[in-house]
Amino acid sequence: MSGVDTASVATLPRGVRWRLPLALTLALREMRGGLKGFYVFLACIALGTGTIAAVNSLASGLTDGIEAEGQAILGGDVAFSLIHRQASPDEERYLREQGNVSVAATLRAMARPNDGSQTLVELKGVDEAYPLYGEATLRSGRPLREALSWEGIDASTPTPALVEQSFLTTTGLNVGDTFSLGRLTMVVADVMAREPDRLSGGIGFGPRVMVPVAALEPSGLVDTGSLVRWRYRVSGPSGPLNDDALRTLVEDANTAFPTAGWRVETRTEAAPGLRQSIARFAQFLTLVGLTSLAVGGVGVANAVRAYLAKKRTTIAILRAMGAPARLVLATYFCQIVLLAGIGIVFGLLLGAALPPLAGLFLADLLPVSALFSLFPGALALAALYGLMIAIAFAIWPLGTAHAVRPTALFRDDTGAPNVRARWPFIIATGIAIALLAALTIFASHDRFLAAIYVLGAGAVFVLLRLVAQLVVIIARALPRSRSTVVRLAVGNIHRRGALTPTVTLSLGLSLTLLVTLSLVDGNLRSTLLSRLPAEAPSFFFVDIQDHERPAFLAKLAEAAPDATVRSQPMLRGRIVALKGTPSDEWPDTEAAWVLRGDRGITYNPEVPEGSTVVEGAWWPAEGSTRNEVSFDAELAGELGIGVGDTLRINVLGREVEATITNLRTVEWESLAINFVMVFSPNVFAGAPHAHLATLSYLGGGNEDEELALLKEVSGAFPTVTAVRIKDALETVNGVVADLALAIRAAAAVTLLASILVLAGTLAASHRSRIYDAVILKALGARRRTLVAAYALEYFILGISAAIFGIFAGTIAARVIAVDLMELTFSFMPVAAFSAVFVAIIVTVGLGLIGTWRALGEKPARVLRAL
Amino acid sequence: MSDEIVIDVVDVGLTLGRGASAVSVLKGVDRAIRRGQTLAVTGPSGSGKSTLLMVLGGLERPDRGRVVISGQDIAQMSEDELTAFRGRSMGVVFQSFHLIPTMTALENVAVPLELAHVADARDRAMEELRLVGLGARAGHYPTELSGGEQQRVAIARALAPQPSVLLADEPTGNLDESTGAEIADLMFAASRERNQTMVLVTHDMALAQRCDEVVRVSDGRLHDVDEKGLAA
Repeated sequence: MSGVDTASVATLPRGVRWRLPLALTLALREMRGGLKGFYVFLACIALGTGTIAAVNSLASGLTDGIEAEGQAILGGDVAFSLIHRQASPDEERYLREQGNVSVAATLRAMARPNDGSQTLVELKGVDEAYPLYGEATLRSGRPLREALSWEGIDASTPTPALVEQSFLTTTGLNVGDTFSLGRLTMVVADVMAREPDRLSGGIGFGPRVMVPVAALEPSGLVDTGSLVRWRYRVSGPSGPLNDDALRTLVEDANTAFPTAGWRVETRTEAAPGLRQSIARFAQFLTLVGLTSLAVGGVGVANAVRAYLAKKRTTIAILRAMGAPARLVLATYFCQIVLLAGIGIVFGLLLGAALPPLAGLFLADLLPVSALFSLFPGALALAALYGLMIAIAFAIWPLGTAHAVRPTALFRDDTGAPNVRARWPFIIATGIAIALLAALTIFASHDRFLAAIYVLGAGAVFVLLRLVAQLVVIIARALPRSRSTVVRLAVGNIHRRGALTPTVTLSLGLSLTLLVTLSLVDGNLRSTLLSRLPAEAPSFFFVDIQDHERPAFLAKLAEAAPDATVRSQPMLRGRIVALKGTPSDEWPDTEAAWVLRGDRGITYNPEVPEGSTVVEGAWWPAEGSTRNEVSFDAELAGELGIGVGDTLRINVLGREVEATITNLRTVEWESLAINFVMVFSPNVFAGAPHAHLATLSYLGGGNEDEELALLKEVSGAFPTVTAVRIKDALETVNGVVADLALAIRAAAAVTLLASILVLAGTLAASHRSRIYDAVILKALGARRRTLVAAYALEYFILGISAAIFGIFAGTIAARVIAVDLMELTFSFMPVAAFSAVFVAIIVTVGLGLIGTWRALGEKPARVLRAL
Repeated sequence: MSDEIVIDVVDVGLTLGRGASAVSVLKGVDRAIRRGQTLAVTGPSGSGKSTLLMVLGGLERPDRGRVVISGQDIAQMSEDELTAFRGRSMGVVFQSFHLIPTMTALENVAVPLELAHVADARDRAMEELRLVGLGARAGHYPTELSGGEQQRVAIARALAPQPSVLLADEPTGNLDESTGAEIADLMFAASRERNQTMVLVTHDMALAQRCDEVVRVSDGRLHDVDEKGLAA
């Protein structure tokens, strides 16, 4: 016997054995036949469960890692962040009284090697106390404090800087080489191997360059209104602060400086954005994993149906010996659960193995310390999904066991049953599916998305059943063809026990998913890239000081006379209250991100280009008498605010209240200068600030002219930071590509599940195929005719599934792209045709491989055995 | 043989199929069979012999008439009651043995006892196997046994619950002559020793003649057959 040896269980000493319920005893005896016929069942459950277990374990591990390394990621027990300004002497003194403080400043700047090139870098200034937690390691092994110099920084001697390897790769510099940064000359002192608080910075658009914080001022990069984030990290005076002390510190600091406008993060909430992203991504991949389980469910149902058909004699014998129908059902139900258990165990092993493996690859990017362990919650959830899918898909075919009666033994009528499941089984299937849907929704991070998925998947299932039915009806209604090949193929499609429903369902489901993901991915990339030449500017210039603005704009006009230049004042501010309600107490909606963290703001006497006032009125051009603000109409709707409401915003440590006097639509995709909030000019009259400018070439810029402009402008204005849009989007596109790769890997699992189901279906029909082939060959059919007939049959089935997949996948992708991601959507034929290609290769290929043996059988040998 | 009536069939009629394909298989069958009596049912293929056996075993419900086994009208029983009653009071032996291939000989024999929740099911099953001469092969699976041995296991299984009625459908039909004779000896001996009523469906007139009575199914009715095999 192959597979699981249950004999030992069934022949335990009597004292032990009798305790097993009879159904379980009978089930274990039945399973002595081995796992033959259940390999597809096991593989489907293992694959789906494994995917879900792996994805959720990985997400849990990363989240645990972030939590465990929260202090190192945050850089302290608590961090106070300020935009534009440093802490006031009073504020800094207060913080230093609470414990150890490390000050860090981050900004974007242009590094200029001596060859005349420029590179956008993520600059970070640190003090001697850095890092309070974790370890910053350098390639040379030297301590960070020794590598940087802390005193006597000026333009006369090169200042040591630490860089990432990618900086050296991009610029072609080596350790010991010099480059310019603002008004200072820097020397590459060492290469950073690890920066413990790197994750608190978000996506970087350039390589990290770390310098002493004292170098920022002489560099000229930090000036009035410069886009600099100052972070004051605090740790306890003698070790980590406990939770109570931490809470008290935050409360007291906010009480002492109620208008500081700082953002406070504690170690327990380090990298909230990253955690949110991990949770969302894990959910998305879980839904993809669930799709593979659902496809696998079709395989489960097929396997159970085929198994029960084979077991009709045994069932009839049990019934004749006095076994009630419910005992028979319980026996086979136990077997399904035991088999699902085996599949689940394999799946969980796969799922548990992934996090440590991923840990080896992600060690440089993410906190992986927690990945080298087991995640019982994630594994239990995956096991539950696997079990529920197995049960939901097995109940219906199990219902046919009910119809087996002992009379079959007298009539030798133990062939395949042709009965429908009774109502109780149909209802039980419905309940199991409803529970599965409920689990999917309630275990999700985003329940709305999960509910849409459940509805969509349900609709696709039902539609695919109908499509299969339609194909059968059409095949039956077709006039008899003169061609033997066509006649055989069409006959195979509509005859009893045809492959049509299974192939359509499993292949249709996975192709729908494949088309959906390809189209969403394609549209996302095309939105990011293809619209650029026509509308987007080539450059964003930030931190243009008031005094240098005219000269800077003149320089741009001289260097690129045909380009369009736009400039806007730019400040950063944080909304602290809406309609008198503090932001952190405002109801959590889709647009709540506007209330978290700092937002870019501006003022303008006129309606900005690309915006249209849709409600209320813009302030008079001659000036406003009160504080007015214009708000993005869509976000205002989502937040539940409108014209006449007030908002309070903290800018540069000063709180300002303004009334929303109009709402406007904003075309964000144009990448022009746009802000959620535009204030009337009087609000910030006299406030120190810098400017933001964009430069757009007519018809989009080319590489050469953009790089030439960059060189010229950066040389003349070393403290202005130029962000080349194409580079920035390449970075974003790189991130999207990595995510898409992970999604495609999960989708490939679904396709694999679908192939398994197809292979299983073909294997189950193998016997009847041999029978048909042999009879037809005995009657004179040539092998070539049969191959052509089978190929045509599989081709028709593959095409049906592909057409549906394209249709349903396009609708699903459109809903995701337009309604959820707010992208424009266009149909992409390449993605669709690849799906057709995959469908045909898979069905015809697998089908013919499966039936090749059938065609090779010698008629005499098979006929003797019949 | 006692005078106690164990099987009482009164005016039993059964039609199989519906509409144009309906076939009236039994058309008013009457028969009373006593405890310990052996009855052979013969007839051409498709005459309704096996159907009659199924009706006696409660596996097929008649359209009309009564089937009383050991004083109980089985037509009045629910499906579950009938199943339990069959497991307790009737043993069935099939032409194709119908052993469960994933169970050993011992486990096959123990199945009806386990289903009836008999505490010492395995001990009693072992005893039955010894009585049919297969004590040494208790741990063997059906595929490891010869046809004759498989039928012995099937007989042990049918006898294990000590049923009052033994129904056999062509029990020697798949066996060679000498093995068939051994099986027949075994069945008749068991019936005699346990005072069991036995109804035997067979084409084999020699086997039929070993029974106390022989009937022939023809045109949906039972006809007595004399010692020469002729219908009375």
